[in-house]
Amino acid sequence: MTVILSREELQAKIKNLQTNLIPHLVEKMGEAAKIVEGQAKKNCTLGKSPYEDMVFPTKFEMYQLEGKIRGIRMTQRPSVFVAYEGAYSGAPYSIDENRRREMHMRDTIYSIVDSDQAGVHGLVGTPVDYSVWVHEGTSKMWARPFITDAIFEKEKAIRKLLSEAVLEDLEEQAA
Amino acid sequence: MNATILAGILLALNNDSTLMSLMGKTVGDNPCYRAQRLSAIIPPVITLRADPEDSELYCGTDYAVSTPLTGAVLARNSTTAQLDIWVSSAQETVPNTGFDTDAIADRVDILLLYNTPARVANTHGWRKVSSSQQYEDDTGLWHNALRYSFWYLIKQGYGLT
Repeated sequence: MTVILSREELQAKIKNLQTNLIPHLVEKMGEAAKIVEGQAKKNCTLGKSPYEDMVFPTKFEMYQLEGKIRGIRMTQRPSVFVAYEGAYSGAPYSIDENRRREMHMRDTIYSIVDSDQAGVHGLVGTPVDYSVWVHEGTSKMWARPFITDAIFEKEKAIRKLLSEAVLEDLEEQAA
Repeated sequence: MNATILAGILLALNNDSTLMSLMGKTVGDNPCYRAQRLSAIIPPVITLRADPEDSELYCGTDYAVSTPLTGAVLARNSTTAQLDIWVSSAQETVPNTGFDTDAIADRVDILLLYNTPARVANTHGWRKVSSSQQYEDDTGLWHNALRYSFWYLIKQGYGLT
């Protein structure tokens, strides 16, 4: 059905669109952030991490010299060995037995949604202090950007979710 | 990443006299190179590493690479490259501070993000994904990690366009 609006009515409609879009965006951004959080955790999971083949033999030799190798076990890929603190495998994962009860970095990855005047922001991160070194790399260890890669991996899904938020708002306004 | 593209990025960086000057080098020293797993870092250098890349087929195309050579565009590859700038604070001459490292990063931005004239041939759509700076207490190294994403097209017959 065609509706003819006056200029003031059209302005009010557009303003309503912008105002009512925010709760939809917050809801969908929350879902998108959860998806990225899940992928980031997957990137840190032994057997599923895309960084498993990034072997750091210099670190392995360093730990071997310091007598810190506690055990070696095979992973799903026989060519990759997991030793002290996952030093040999590229996956950012620790198998130190003493730390089994402590929370691993992967378990601390979280997501939140923040809404302010600048817009709606989805944030995924971890409070662990060494995570920045894992993510950005050091002179002895290649970067394993488990969060950035998760965002890229799920970019299409994120765009689809945010588009749905806009569509829902438009349908509400049209009704 | 396509080998020609990777070489093109390194060439664009190594041939820029302003960047070389900021790094305390001259054109021909080639301090920008592909990251090597076992070799030690002797700063100031810029190492390049390719991150995961994906490819989208163009409409009506069945394969990302095919022959014979007819010039049709087959696919668009989207890749992410990480450039790491390493500067030692123990060095007596510049660059040796985080400020110097930032200046090098700014110049890399100009070379890659503007890409006009086309410094890295056959690429387009450059955008910066992230940047960060860390200081390693044990090695005394300033480390700027820059990530860029861009596209390049695959032409029938394995060529780039």
